Amino acid sequence: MMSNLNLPEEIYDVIFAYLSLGDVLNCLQVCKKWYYILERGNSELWQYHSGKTVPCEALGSEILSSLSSHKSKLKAFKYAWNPNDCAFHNYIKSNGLTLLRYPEDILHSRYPIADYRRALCYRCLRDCARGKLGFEAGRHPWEITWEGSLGFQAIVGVPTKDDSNSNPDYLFGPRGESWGWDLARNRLIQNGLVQKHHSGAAVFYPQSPKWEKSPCGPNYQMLPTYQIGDRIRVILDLEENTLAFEINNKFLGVAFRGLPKKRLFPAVYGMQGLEASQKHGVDAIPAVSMVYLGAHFNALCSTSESSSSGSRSSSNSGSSSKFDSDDFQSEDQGATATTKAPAPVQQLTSKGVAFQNKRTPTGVPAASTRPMATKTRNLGHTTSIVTCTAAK
Amino acid sequence: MSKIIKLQTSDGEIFDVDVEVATCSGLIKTMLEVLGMDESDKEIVSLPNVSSAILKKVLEWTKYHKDNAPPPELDEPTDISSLEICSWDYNFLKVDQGTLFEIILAANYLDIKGLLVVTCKTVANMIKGKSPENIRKTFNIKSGFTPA
Repeated sequence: MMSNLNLPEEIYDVIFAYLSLGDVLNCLQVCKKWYYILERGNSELWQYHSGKTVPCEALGSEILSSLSSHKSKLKAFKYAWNPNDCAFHNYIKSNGLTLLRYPEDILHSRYPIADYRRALCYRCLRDCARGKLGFEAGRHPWEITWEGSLGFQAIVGVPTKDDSNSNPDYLFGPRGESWGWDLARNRLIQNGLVQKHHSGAAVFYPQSPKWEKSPCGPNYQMLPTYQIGDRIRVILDLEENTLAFEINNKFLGVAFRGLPKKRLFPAVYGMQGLEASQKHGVDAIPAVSMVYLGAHFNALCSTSESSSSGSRSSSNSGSSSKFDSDDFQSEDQGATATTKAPAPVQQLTSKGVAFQNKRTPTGVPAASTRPMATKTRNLGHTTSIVTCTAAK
Repeated sequence: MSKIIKLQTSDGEIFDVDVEVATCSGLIKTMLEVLGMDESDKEIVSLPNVSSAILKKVLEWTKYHKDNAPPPELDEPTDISSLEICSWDYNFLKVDQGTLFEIILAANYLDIKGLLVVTCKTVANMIKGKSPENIRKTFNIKSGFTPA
């Protein structure tokens, strides 16, 4: 069976130039040849679409400077913070990538006093945001830069969509499912609880034997490993069901294993004392940027029966409507899409099982198993490998 | 009285074509510029990449657009809003896919931008709004991806 469509590449370029972004994404999945033609990241096509979609503030900014191709910039923007899913006093900077907080005077005038009080409960301000798109399969690295104060808590991680009862003020809280790393205290937080060893001592991340034997006791508060200006890379591997982190390309070990088969979103959560923010002024207000580095768009879209998987996912997550503001066509298929998702049935069954897995005697969260660590690390570094995986 | 140029197609047929029509093609225009008009009178320009059936179509298109409507503007090919094509072109390109692609190849080879644009738009219209599976069906393409 021969294809009629046997044209030189430059003609494909002309044809694809007339398509909308959604159609281009569909074309990516048609066949290998089309995929490779479109895959050439710096082609005019991607320049056009990224120029049209991504705010020019972002294209010129430092944040995206690590991304070389127009396509990866477009992708970073598509995955970035969801302006409709952040705390009420937060907003997304015009670059589309950075989470900021409204200045206090604007807050007072803009929001009902009740909301303001709620935000201030315990005299703390919470900043948080979730990404526009979640993941259910594949390997996904993204980079977080946290500027400003870390405050009491500064969590980077992956909640589910339901975490916080769709009130993003309480991301990483005890009500939902979430996995995160508290940068401010070097702890791992699962479902709002600090992860502990069997001894009752908190698990430190990154792991350091020196700290755990600290004379000041296991709860001694360490200075953050994270320094302002560092780049954190979050590596969510939904083929191995692990979550790991890197700081400035230094792999810190696997933080969580046995993540459930649920759609997980990139997210951050910060809690800052009111006094601190008043005392140190604007500089202390966190500005958290996210840049997605992962697989090609193709990973977003299932290679076949995309329509059926799309409808399944929307019926699963009742609250997905909130995300509809984004016109990204294959968004719904995105999370459900499985280019390849081998997962032990055990972990599929329920969160209970997944939770038990995590509590097995040996593997209380933070630990570093060497082979896994290096593998994930490589993936985090070279997105091209991730792309290859997706291309399969 | 305009000049006539002889074009020979891959299957050996020779077409007598008005120079003004023929020079819609960038390729022929360049050839004539290099060769000079006078000599081209006697010589036959051979087009080994174009069959006579396709050249007929191409000439039909160039003649029509020379006489009736200016060829479609060469706007930036990335202008998505301009997917419409004029009704004459639409009817003209109501051909089977094989012919359409051969016209595209000929337009590319002969360097006739207007025809290339309008044919590529036609293909883009065939892709527009379709799922990957439907696109594969439309063009009879094998996926080549290993199944998920």
